[in-house]
Amino acid sequence: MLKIKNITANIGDITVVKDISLEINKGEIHAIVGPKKSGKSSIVHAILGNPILDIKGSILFKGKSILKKNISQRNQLGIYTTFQYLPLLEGITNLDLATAMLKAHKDQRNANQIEKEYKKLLQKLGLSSNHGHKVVNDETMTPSECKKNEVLHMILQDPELIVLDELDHDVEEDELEIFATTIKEFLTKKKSAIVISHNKQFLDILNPTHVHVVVNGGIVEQGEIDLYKRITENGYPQLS
Amino acid sequence: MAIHSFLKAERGDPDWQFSPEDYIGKEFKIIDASMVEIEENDGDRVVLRQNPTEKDLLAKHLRVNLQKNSTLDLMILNEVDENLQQVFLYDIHLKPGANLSLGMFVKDGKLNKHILQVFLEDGASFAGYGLITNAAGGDSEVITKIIHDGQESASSQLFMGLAGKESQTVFQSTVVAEPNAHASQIGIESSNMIIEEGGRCYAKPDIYLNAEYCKSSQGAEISSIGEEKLGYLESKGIPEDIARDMLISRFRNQVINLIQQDNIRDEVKELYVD
Repeated sequence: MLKIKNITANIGDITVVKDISLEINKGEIHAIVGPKKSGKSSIVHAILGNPILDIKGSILFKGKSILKKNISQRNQLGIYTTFQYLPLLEGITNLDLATAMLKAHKDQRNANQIEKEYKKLLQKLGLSSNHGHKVVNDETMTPSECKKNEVLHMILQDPELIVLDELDHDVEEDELEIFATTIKEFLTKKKSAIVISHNKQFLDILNPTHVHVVVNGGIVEQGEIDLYKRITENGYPQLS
Repeated sequence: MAIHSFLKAERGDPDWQFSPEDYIGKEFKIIDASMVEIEENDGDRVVLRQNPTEKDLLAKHLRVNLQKNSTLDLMILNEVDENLQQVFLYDIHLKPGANLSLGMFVKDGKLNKHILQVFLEDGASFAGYGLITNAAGGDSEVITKIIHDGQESASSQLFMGLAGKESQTVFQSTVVAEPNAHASQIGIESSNMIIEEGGRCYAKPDIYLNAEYCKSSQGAEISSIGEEKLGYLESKGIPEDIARDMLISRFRNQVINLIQQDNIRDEVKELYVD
């Protein structure tokens, strides 16, 4: 589904991603782990299409290059990317955002079907019935609500590949299970995922099929879930 | 010039008198624009449309008097050409129990400055709200001084600013509760957004309480439309131009939606269609 081949990404003169190759197939969950500032988020921004990065190499999604596509075009192709830090959008409610997002995707469902699905998701994620009227990521929303909102939009959008860059960060401990199991349930529909997280509980629930260890902008080790278990016990390979 | 005018208004003399002969080194000619007077126990709605065309440096003086227990819903819709410099002065007097709702929508101009002085007696209330925008490379300003001179009087203000390329908006408010203004309520809120490079927003709310049992709140914030917000919306599949429009229009609609009359609200929305 996603094939990244020998990409190197620079911001000005600084190389933030060094010659990385990854292949994510349908139904696979890839965890990218590594110490802070190791370049994990830069890989996500390369997939996202952040124009700040100067990228060499190739990124193919469903067999076609996406390097010349901008952020919104990549999302419309079926790549849903979301982040640790979410900006406040003054005056824009959660429902406004969901409506604009589905309109941009030319969603075929009618207003009643969308409303029904929205309400169902609010209930599933334990969000209040007035959630839609709250301003996106403002102070009336708890950190967990902000992150659940991202999951809600993800399910509404129904992408083929999700890229979660420490989305679990700040999710309260008692909310983490419902948060993670909702994502896991979504992924069982033959979806693919790239997940960056420092949270063992979150990764245990998602149960990644592949693990990549990133240090200093490059992949230093690859394996399956056992690799992550070894890292949590012994630390990162080149730092221990 | 713009910064100087901001400081000048802040400094002002105790009675906040406008001194045209000495104003930013230029002479503004004061003209009496009009007078709005509401009789005792009466009520009215007034819409003032300000679209000046005079190239002279004019300071237009509007007086608003509300007699006891009267109400006025006053809307000021202002749009000034990018080459014009105009000052609007408002002397507003609210007698006991009078109630003024003032919507003020200020757009563009090389200098487009609105100076309000509001005087509240016992039980009078003033609710001011509006939008201050400039995308013409100039300076749009709303400067208010509100004097609570009676007990249980109330004032609330919500002014939002939007500054475009190389343009500036200013909201500055001083609210004073005089010693006889017991149990008065005061609120000032200002939210501002810089939407293009070189834009500047200033917001300065000040409250001076000289009376007892008053309640007050104040707040001001300035943000930028920023790549982060645009990128976030784009990551949901919303194209950049639509994302930008969405951020700007929803921001200003927070205050436009406070307008009660549908036709005026539509007119104001139309005023800001790019």
